[in-house]
Amino acid sequence: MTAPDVSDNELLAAVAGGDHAALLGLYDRHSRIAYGLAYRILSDAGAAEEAVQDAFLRIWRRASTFDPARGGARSWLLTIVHHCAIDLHRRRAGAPPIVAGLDEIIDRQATPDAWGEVTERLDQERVRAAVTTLPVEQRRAIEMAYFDGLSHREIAERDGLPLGTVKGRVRLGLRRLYDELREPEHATERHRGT
Amino acid sequence: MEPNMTMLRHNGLRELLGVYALDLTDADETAAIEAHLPTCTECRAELSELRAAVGALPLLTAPLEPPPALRSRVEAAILAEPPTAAGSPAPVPLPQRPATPTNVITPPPSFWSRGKPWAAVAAILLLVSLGLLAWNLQLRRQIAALPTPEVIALAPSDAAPNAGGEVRYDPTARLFMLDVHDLPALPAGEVYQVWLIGDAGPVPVGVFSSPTDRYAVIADRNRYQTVAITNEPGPLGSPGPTGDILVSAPL
Repeated sequence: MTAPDVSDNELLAAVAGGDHAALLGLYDRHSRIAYGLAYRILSDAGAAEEAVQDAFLRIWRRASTFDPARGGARSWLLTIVHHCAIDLHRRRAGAPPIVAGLDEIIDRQATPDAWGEVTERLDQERVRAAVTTLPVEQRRAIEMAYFDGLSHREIAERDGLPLGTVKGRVRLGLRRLYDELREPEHATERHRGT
Repeated sequence: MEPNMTMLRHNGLRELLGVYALDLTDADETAAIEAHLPTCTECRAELSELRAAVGALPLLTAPLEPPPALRSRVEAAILAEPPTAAGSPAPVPLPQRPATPTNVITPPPSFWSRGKPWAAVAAILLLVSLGLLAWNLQLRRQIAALPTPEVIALAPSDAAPNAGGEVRYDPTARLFMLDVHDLPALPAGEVYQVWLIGDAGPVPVGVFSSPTDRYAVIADRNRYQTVAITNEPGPLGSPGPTGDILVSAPL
């Protein structure tokens, strides 16, 4: 349906200009990851569908806030899917939202990520392999935050840990993941002794 | 006392960057981090790496084929949205019927009072918004095609006669990149400090200590008129400039 050599960034720019087919083109490319992610978070097909639909509607509405020059359209899109799923997950669990507005968070995705286009070329195998190199407590903290939508306070309460420990595990785990994904052959040397 | 508290604050906020990259900080933590980031290149660099790692996390899940009906629902939802919601500028407001002064003959019925002008108004708005959409797309293409951001020379001063360099501003990233060379050697314990000067006075945006260096600042150019570098007591500089201006440039 969409020409294979049109990039996600170009599609998103077209969406910002009001192109419905471009939005559906992004859906066709990324709906399996989006739905898989939403399903993992929500464990319910109906809720996962609702989250994905909500996400693509927000993508439609806010495409113009994405800066095409900075790269990372797929990351931006999947971040919105993730946040819609977590938002729904927390509401279904009766938990209060962590911050006021989903839209504010979307608009805040302004800091360019370190790799731009490189992030776009990652695949599942590489990311899974990289995550297995994390110390288990760092991995667990990141997974609780990312897939359960738990704040550092909630993780600390749930696991009976000091708040600073949780913050540190999340931060160090993400840094290690970044190093591992950037240069897998050097990351183990850099972390010797960590 | 002051520099120690600033350092503690920086360390404390830096510990939160992982949680912030996951968008899980509460309102107070978020506000504190967002106030700190423009003044700290170290935190901004780290945040960008952390966000890149977070960007990889969706790939941990197995892809799953959604039901075909979901695509139809997404399509129906976006088709139901009004055209302006897709990000084009707001439509031009309807022209007002001019007020009639009492000592002037009433003008003949205007376009607006002649029966049902709404179809014509809708047609005009559609043309205008299509025109604005085309302009918006054109502008985006132009921005994407910009070869290099604008370059401004950094002027030396009596305190730094051999110094120089350039400021580049990237409007799409709202990023200033300073390339400076041959700053005078620092007295012991001091640092070079970068200032953006706007209507509210000089704003400190960071420090570095190498006489030839590249320094990046995220800021909105429209709010400032000048960029300058002074030397200040280290390790974190001063809240307001105390040293001589070494180099500067108008923005």
